[in-house]
Amino acid sequence: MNGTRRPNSMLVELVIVILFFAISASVILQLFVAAGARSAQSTTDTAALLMAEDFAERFAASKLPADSFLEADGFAQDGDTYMRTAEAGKRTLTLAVTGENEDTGAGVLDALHLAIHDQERAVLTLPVSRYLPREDMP
Amino acid sequence: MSRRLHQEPPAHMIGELFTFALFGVFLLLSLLVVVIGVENYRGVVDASDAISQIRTPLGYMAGKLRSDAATDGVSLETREGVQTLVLSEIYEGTRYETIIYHQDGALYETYINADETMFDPDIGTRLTDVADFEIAWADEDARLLAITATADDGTTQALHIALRTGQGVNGA
Repeated sequence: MNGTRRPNSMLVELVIVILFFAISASVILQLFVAAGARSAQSTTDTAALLMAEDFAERFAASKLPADSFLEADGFAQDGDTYMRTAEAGKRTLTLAVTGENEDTGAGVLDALHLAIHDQERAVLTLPVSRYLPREDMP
Repeated sequence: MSRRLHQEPPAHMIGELFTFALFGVFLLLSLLVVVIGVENYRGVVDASDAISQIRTPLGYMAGKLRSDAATDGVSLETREGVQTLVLSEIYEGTRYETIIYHQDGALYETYINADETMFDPDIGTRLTDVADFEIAWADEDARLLAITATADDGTTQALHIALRTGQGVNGA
């Protein structure tokens, strides 16, 4: 009688432990997935930030008109927006630029608005302005 | 004798075997969760390391080039066989140089009185680890610097910096 009771009680204990383990494991696995996703998002955001900074610096130094600069940089015009994609690790980011310019007579004031998207998620937006004196134009 | 050989195993023995088998599955699953956790943690740390190894030198260089308003000139030079970025400033007739360069998998910086001291790559202050680091002019007018940083895992990121200050006191 005692011999059959011992394995049964052990089995019940084991089942309880496994149940507890399964619940803990499911929580931990969710945390792992969330941590991985957060890490990937952080990597993408950093790459996007550097990309935006790089774009702003190159635009500031360029003497080309805004539309020529964007076309030379690989952007394709789609209505009022210039778009292109860029690789950031395993992700593909979409860069969209809208803007306007004002001819002041002595030069041109360009005001662009760069938006970077990771699929549907807006990663960042950056306003970029540049004044190009007429004597500096090509 | 022969009857005993063909006897079915006792029920409690099957129960014990099942219990031990279940315990074995439990151990295997525990190990699996630990292995997944280790892989995940390693992936997160590696990604974080790569990003930090790239962002730190690029951010430092961007900050240095933008904030150093006293800088009278920025130039790229090869000194003692090392490619260097030289930020020069003249104070009371004396020229001082901040020299930033990459050597032995790290970014270094040194500050010298250019009129009295020769550049020595071994006396620089180690700033941060970066597997590879390159600086080059991206345009003919020497107004745009292209800085490229590569992490240990091969991840490469380039950043351009447009100079707001004058350049060329050293003949850039």
